Amino acid sequence: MSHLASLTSLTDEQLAEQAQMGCLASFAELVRRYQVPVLHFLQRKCRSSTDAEDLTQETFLRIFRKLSHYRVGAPFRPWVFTIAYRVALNGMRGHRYSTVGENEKSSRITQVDSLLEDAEENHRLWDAVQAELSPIQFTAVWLFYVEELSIRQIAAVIGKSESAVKTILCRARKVLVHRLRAYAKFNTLPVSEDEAVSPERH
Amino acid sequence: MTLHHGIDEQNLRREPLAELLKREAEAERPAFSEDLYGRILNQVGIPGAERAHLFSSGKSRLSFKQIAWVVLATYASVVTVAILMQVVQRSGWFHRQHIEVSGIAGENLNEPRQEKGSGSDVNLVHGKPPTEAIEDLVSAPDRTIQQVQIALSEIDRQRWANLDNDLRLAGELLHQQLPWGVLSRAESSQVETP
Repeated sequence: MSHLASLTSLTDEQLAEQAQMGCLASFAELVRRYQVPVLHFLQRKCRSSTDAEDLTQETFLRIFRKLSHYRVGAPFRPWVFTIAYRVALNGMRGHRYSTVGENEKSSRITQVDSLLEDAEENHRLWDAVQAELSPIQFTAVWLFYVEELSIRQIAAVIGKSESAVKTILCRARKVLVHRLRAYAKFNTLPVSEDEAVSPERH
Repeated sequence: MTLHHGIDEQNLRREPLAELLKREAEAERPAFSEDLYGRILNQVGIPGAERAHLFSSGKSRLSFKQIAWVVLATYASVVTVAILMQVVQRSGWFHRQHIEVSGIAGENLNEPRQEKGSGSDVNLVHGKPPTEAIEDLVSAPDRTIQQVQIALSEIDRQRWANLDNDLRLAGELLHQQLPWGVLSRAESSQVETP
């Protein structure tokens, strides 16, 4: 089996451990695996693709430099997104990159309704979601549904308590279901028992 | 894990909203960029020329630490081999002495060597059966090593006070150890191995 084939068979955590010991090939494999997820996440945080790529580069540079901080055996994915999230925040605070601020909704999105109208055809549902939610709500929803991190992992990434993340997800979900169901394309979304009893509680 | 109001985290992932969001995210997912990949690796110090070797057949670029360990191990191996060669060389040298010692079984090394071709020397080899001669050969190294070690320790003890005498003793020892007679007898003898 070639060296490349043997690397692809390793888990992220195994690769991270080898990279921590100085194996550059293992780090390169991690970059290959996480480039797209990190870039995709940061594209939602930035206003331009160029800035997103720059932040992606910076994320992996920080990962490389902080490999000694990685606790061997711990889940690697949340650790990557923790760094990516902080890189995005730092980019916003330093005004080096045109990122979507924590206290503003995306300026790219002008009308959520129009987006939802053609969301299904043009694959702009996430644009509508981002317009509807606050940045931290959007981050929690993205990490939960797209990257499939657990509540605990999301809490570690965004620096909130698990209870706070639960609240964020619940509210974000209710908003999305309520908004999306208004459109014919999404009116098949089921109502939870909670919403059926008291849909306006939140 | 149960969220607020009885909503289960696992069920949350299985509901239609989750499937919809995941599907839409997959549809807008960016493509892998070789250019960005190259820029990232360049930035962390893996330039393009070296990247080609990272995934070449069975080879991986070694870190500096790994290279240092390899160099150290190689050096230790070379030193070990050199020492072993010295030991083997000495043993081989001793072994040549042992051939003669086996022939004169227990003879005192300080006694003057008998002249080459003397009758008694011929009898020492020809007088023994082949198996006994071989056994003497095999056991001779230990005896010779002990005798030489004794001589060397004596030399070492008196080296500063008696250097010239030590040199003379060493010379006599060497002269006694050289198997002049045994070699010639070995060539002409008909000792057969079992």
